[in-house]
Amino acid sequence: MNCEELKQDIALAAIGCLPAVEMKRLQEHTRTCSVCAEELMQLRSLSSEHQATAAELLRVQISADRLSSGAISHTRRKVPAPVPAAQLWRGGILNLRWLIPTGAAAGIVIALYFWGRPEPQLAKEAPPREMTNPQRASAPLPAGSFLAYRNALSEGGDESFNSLLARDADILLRPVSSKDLLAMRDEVY
Amino acid sequence: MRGGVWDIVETERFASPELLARAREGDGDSFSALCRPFQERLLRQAYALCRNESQAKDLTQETLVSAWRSIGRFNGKCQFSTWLCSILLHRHKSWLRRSSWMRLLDPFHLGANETELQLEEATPSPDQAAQLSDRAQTILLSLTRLPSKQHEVIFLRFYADETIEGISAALNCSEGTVKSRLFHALANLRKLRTFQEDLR
Repeated sequence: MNCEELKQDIALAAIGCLPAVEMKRLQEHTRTCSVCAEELMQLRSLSSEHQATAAELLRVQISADRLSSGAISHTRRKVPAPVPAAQLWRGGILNLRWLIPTGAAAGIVIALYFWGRPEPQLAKEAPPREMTNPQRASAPLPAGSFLAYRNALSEGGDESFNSLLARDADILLRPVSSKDLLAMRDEVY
Repeated sequence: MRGGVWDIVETERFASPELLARAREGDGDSFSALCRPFQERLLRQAYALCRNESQAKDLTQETLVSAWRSIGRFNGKCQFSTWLCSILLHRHKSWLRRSSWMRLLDPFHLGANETELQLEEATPSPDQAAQLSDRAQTILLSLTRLPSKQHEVIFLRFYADETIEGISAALNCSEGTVKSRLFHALANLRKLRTFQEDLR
């Protein structure tokens, strides 16, 4: 008989669960096979250790007094009453052990929702424009710029020039400082 | 193979059919009378799992309450004591699972569930530790290292003195499955013992 086939039988024999017929067959095999005999001996030793431990448990001083049938209701068992809604809230939904995973799951969902969204663009202050740069003439020029009026006059004629003046009236009519005047002069010449 | 060491603590080996029938009908007193002969056995089995007396008592209490709730489902295919032991194993497993989740989710939530949180670190009291030999404690500890399904069959075989037929009925699986689990469990226990011996 093949030793490999008998491995499970050896384990069962070691714990005393092998039927008599198979036990006899195993004994015949172990007489001739020292490996299987050794295996059986080791497993029997392991099994006896557990049996000894089970016997030791009996010697531990434990009193079963508290386990009198007090835990069991002495009334007749009835059809379970429906759980009141308030109790369900207190003991179930509002229980901390449910709240924490629920909150964590909600947090994950919210995080995933915002994950792919573009970052909101904050209104940035426009950088100071270089007034004397003629290459940037295509960009809208600031109000009060001499270059803007010249472009309007050359490209759109009087009508465009007048509408630009009307748009910038507030700026143009305010008192101009000498510094600004000098800047305008530099821009023109 | 029935009997063995547990016969010392059991006054009755088999559950009384009359008590069982009345308990199934919902009579709490009959259920208490039915369970009484097996209480000490159950408590010691719980102690083997927890290695702590107060936790073992709590676990046994929970097991009895669970058994009372589900007595209608006991089909008599296995011994009543084995059925109780399988409930005990399930309660212990769910207790461990619950305590590990509680530890993970809410490490500050102690109080009522403090015993659950400390279940895994259960250690016997000094008096009880003195009663159990080092070898027995090592063996009980090595059982906890087994996968739960292997742990169940080994526990039912050695600490509930149950046969393969009884184990298969209690766990609701085939005898071949039980044999296979026992074989692998013994192999794992042997490896653990070798490892422990190498460490010494």
